[in-house]
Amino acid sequence: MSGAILERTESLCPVCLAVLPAEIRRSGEDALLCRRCPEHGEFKEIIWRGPPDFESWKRPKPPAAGVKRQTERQRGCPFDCGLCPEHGQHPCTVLFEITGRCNLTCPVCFAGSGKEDSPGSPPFSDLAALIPQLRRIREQAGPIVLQLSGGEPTLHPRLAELTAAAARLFPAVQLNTNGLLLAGKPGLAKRLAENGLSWVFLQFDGVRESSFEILRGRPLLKTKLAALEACAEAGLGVILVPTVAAGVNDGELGDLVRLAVNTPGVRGVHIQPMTSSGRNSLPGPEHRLTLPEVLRRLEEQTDGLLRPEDAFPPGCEHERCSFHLRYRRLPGGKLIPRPGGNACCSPDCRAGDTASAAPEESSANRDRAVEIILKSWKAPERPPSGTALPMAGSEKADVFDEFLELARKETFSVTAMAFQDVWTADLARLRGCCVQVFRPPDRFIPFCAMNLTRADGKALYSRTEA
Amino acid sequence: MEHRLPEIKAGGWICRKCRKPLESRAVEITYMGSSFKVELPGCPECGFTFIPPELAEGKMLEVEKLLEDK
Repeated sequence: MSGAILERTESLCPVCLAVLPAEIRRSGEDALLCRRCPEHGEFKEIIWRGPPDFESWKRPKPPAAGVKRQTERQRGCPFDCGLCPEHGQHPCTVLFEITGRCNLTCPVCFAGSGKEDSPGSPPFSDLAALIPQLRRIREQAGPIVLQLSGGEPTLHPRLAELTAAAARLFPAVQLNTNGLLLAGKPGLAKRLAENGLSWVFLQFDGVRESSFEILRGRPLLKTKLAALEACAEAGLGVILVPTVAAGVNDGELGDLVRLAVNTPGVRGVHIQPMTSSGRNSLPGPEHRLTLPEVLRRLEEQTDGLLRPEDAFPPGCEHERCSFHLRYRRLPGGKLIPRPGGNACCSPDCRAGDTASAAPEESSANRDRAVEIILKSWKAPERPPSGTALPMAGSEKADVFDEFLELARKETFSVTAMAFQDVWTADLARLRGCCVQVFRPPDRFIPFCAMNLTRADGKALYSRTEA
Repeated sequence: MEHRLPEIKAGGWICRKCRKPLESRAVEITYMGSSFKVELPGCPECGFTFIPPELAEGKMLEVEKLLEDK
């Protein structure tokens, strides 16, 4: 294999899942994950295409201390999830899959959900079985963001009660939904908001019906817009979550950001480039969209409003798993980035220089991450009617308080998370994962391990077996 | 609009460069699309404005943290 070695790690054989030593090698402006299986030969997969340069994108963190383990080491990473003693990060977000049923049959579902519950999943309407599981998550994972997921969680007949129970245990409850019932069931969004739902992660692939037809099997734009309206009326924060594939809907990212910025209640866009897992199947490596390409698409499609130099690697998950752009949104849709972007106050100050920064403490970052997610995505509290903002010059507040009060309501984020599949699997990233799926009775499986399937489609962790 | 920040007083500070006592003066702060006027201690000679640590590490830091990344 040619090209300078940028980093050494471990990966998997896509055919047999053998753990293999791997090298990240430079190929022009790109980076490839390279490994050789003694049985199945050489595999090279693109993981980084173009600027910002792979080597400039750093945010080192040592393994976190005090991570709660639920499994012993037997076969080693990634077969002992989890969390096993090799895992290096606490969860900041835990997915609780409350049903395997779904009211869409998306051609690209990584979870392989369908009309019926899968064997081994909890009885559909059994609230009594789910509450102790919520408690178990709280006990093991701590004060995290709980994501109610599925399947399609709004199909659960006891969702409102479950939301209320979750809201009593966790600082934030996020609903991961396709939005069909939020749009079609009057009062649902309001009831969930009243029961303590913090915000909605709304699957929203683009602004053209053709994208919904390809990715979801039918036109859905009007339904999605109706869901947005219902959430705004209910006072719920919404994050638009597009699944993006090159050549399908990557030309709509700018329009989607514009739609988000101009829609009341939408706090951000969270972009998820498509992987090859479950029913999700990229037609070829040319359809894989890497993080730097997402950043460049955003810049091109927003006439430079969103700039790659304003993006930060994450402090919680592994540096190559996501990017974060944070803004103040002014009336009229103007976005103001954090002053200085990735640079800082003076040439000597390295406070914002992530590439040369010292390693950060992972566990502290997890707590901070939960706090920041909460601040970024929850709809701002509405002051009781008749309550005026504190006046500057009064004893209680000054001009900075006024500014804070205003700006808190106006933050807007554009983030992307690059999930891994068997072709891009990097075990260093997997061990640094903070987004985990709860598997009863008490296992926490990193999201990308939970959804990883071999080249022939067989899952590393089956959803149909206990 | 001008605002006096009650906790910040000019008294006792001297400009290192000009050796003049600092005086309370109106300063316009521009930050992320908003500008507002506040009274802060400054040098009447060179115009240098002093931001006391309690403001830099208090309210200003809080403003900065609004947009910190995860």
